[in-house]
Amino acid sequence: MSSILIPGERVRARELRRTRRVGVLGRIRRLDWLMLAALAGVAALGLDVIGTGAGGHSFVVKQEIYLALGVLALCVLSFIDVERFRRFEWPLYIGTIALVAAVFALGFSTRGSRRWIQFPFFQFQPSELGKLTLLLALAALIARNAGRIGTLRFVVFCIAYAAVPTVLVFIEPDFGTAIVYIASLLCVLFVAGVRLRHLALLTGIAALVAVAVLWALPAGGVQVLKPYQVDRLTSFLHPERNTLAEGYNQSQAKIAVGSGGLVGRGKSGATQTLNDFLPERRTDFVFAVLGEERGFVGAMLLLGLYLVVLWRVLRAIAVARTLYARLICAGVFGWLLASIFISVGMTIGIAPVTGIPLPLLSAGGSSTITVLAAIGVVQSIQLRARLPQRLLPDRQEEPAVGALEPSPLL
Amino acid sequence: MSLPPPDPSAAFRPHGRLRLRLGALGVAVVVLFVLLVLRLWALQVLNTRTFVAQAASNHEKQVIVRAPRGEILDDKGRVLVRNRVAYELDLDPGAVRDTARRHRLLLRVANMLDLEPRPLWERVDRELRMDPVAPVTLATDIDVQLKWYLQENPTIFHGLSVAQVPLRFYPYRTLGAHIYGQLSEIGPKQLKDPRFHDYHRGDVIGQSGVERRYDAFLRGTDGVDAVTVDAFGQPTGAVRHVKAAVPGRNVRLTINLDTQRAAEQALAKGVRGAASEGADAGAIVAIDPSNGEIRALASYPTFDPNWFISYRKPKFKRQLTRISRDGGAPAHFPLLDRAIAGRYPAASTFKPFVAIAAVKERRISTDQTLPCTPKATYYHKAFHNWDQTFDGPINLTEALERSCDTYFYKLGDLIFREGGKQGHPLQNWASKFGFGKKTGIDIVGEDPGLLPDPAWKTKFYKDNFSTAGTPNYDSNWLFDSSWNAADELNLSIGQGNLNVTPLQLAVGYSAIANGGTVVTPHVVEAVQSPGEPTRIQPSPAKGHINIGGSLLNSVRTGLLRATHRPNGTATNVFGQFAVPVAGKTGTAQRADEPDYALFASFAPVPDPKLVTVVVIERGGHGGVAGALTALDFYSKVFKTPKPNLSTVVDEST
Repeated sequence: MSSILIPGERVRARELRRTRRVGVLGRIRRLDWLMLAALAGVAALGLDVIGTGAGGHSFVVKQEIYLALGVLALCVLSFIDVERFRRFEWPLYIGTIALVAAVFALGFSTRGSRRWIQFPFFQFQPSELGKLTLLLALAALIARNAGRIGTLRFVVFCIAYAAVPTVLVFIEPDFGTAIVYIASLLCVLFVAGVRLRHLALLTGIAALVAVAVLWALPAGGVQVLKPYQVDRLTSFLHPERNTLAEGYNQSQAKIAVGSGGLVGRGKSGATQTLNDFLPERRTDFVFAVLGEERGFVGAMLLLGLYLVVLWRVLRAIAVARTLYARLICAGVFGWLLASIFISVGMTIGIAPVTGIPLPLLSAGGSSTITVLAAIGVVQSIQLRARLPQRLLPDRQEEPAVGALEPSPLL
Repeated sequence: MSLPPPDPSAAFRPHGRLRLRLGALGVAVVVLFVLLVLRLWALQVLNTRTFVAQAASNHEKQVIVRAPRGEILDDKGRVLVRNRVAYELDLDPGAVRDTARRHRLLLRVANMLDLEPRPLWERVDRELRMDPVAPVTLATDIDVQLKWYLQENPTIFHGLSVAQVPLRFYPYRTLGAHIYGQLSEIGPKQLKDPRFHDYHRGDVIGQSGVERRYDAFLRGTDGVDAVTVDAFGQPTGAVRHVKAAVPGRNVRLTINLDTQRAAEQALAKGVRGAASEGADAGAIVAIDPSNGEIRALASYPTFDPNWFISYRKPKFKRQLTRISRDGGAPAHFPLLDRAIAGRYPAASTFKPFVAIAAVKERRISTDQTLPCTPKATYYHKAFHNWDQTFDGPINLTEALERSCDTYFYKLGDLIFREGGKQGHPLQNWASKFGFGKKTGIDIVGEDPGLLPDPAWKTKFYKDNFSTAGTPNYDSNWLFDSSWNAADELNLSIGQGNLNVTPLQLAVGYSAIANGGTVVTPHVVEAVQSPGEPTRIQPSPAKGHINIGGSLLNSVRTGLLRATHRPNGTATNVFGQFAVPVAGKTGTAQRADEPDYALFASFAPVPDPKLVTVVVIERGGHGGVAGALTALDFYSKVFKTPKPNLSTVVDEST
């Protein structure tokens, strides 16, 4: 403050001093309460839906504990400057890989898939936490190399970087989570400013690979996916073909959702749920329970709440102060969007059947806590954007997308 | 002067391409959400009904509730056939998919039920090939103890279930056994038959007798219950009545319980009484000549229909249908309803119809006398009367009284001489009385008998005594294939190729008793159910024969004299009986067998209430075994004591 100030600047500096000291209350006031309210609504719906049927109460109690732990994580992360994570890029990355690799050594398998590690009081699913840690590492990598985002080489490197844990998750096998990883990565790259033609090229290659894996290679005798995975991925395209085999779960879910009608069949009338026709009704197919019990109205309420959450995350991308923060928000956005669309879509026959939890609606500790932690990070980012800023940034900002070399496509 | 307040976030607002890209993300969200909303709208709002129905069919298993079958009552409403609750042992194929395991289980079941395991395996395997999911019935009517044992050991007998089923019960056991007929599950052939289009696999259907003919009334309409099940198909307890079962209607018979019992007892006694002659079987029919209502219909030997209900059915059936042709035990065929399907030569009981034919064809008049000689010769062949002691001219009435064979040979000859010109009068008249064709009784399984005529004979010889392509005349064969006088003469005393059923005889004698009306015999009087008007079964007469007063009188008088005049063939039996019975004896000769005893009668004269026909196979003389059985029956029906008959029997034998 030793520099000479013109009168107006003096006033500004005073204001600045005053506003810079925003206390805890001010910070709490500046949290995105709309987003939190929407999430609270989702969680409440979730508890309602999980409680249906015999033994529902114990699931509700467990879920309440997970929610409490998740809220704790959310609170803590909301008040930590996300920039502090930037320097943990490599530990986070290695940690992610170690986590998802650990299931191969320590995990136990359920229905042919090793996804969980057993702890004394709960089962931990590392791939869920990995969504957040990988995202933090990936965002740091890209933010560090912001100038090179226009090059195909760097984009391919980024993909390879994310591919290591993704492939590990994929071969657990946990196809759904791998898809979320990919969606998250795509969203990060998109927001980071990858040229559209690179994106198109890579998408084309991915499509070719998908065709090869699902059709060409099995026809040639090389099985990349397990047959059940191929069935699951393709059965939603012809759901009526075999209601008793792979399409069974999906057609039962569709019957549940469809029979819900406009206002639902209520807790006692939901025969699909009560008589155990719905598989995995507290996790993967939880939306079908909501659809049957609360009908179209309930489904619209849930989608409305999710829409609010996505809008607020999208807004967080927009207001984020740094590229690093922005990419984290973008990753969370892609993760939530993919989870919601696939998890809802598979119960109504417009998405393949993959085990993806519906954020905050599905019962499950790893998913609930990780989602809430990610929301905490997003809250922290938007909170920082709403705090009064020094006129001049005290840290050199990386060039934003606009600073990149012009692209003919945009 | 002051600067505008700073906008801290202005410097960080997205701009340019980032703005566009965020916009693209927003559009992506909107597009995906619109997709979800549209799809949810389509499923939940537009197609609710479809999915609700699917959910219902998912969690509700439709179970058929068998309608209780209608009961069969006698004419006074006494229950002859009713239902009882029994236990049925079923196999749930879903629970034991493995064939080897299933066979082990069935072996255990077979041991418990005392059945052969191999037929059981084969039957179950066959039914599972037809329908791999439907439960298979292993045994009906299992013991209650067995049911408890199975239910107390569910782990051993996993896959077996015991169901309650209604089964037929015949409280009077053998009484009327041949009338009711049997039930069984509908067969694969029947299912393909368009007549049974509204029957389904597993339905129980009447296969014979009244049960078959009146199945449409008796069966009722099955109901449907919806049982709530979980995803594993296990019932959760809740039952919703979708459609109530409508019980079948009751069928009221014309059969009278007491008359039927009297008939069966008389028949059994008659057969046993003539056992020394070789009698082992017989039949009796009693019908109301005014309308054809059958009061009693019995065949001997008989059986207890309750036997067929048990799971031991196959064993019993073999016993009941055993055929012995090798000269050992006689073929009894208890299941054969001799009253409607037994084929017998009518013998002398046919004579009244020959007399009527001859008079109506103006070959003789009722008063005209013809010689009744011990022996007569036609076409170089001697024909004898059964009675070698009498020789003299007699008229029609006396001929019936004495049952004079030579008199009727003469009639046959008279008819035959002119036969070619005017068709075949004897057959024509016999046919009018209902011989040679089905009477139309409402029980399935009736035999048409055989009324031989020239066309039949030609065809019979062609079918049996010539090979294809060669002329049908075989010079080596003793008889030529065309109708000749011997055939006509044999027919005129009811022998030869003539075959009648006891029921046909009863219908013919009804026409004599009622003045010429050929009735349609029937056993069902009405179909009724509570809260519904009773439906009377119509029984239109087949036709009316204008016999003519004096002829009818002569024949009736002849028949009454046959049972009352000293020379009557059955006077020994009926002469002292308080009820005036008119009747005709018949002693049918069959190759290589003792004579068959027949007796056709009506009583009381002059206003007959009953026409009764008795046939005792291998029973000897009709005037003894046949008439005694009829007497026994009449005395019970009319509650009149029998005269002392010790002398009668002595004389005849």
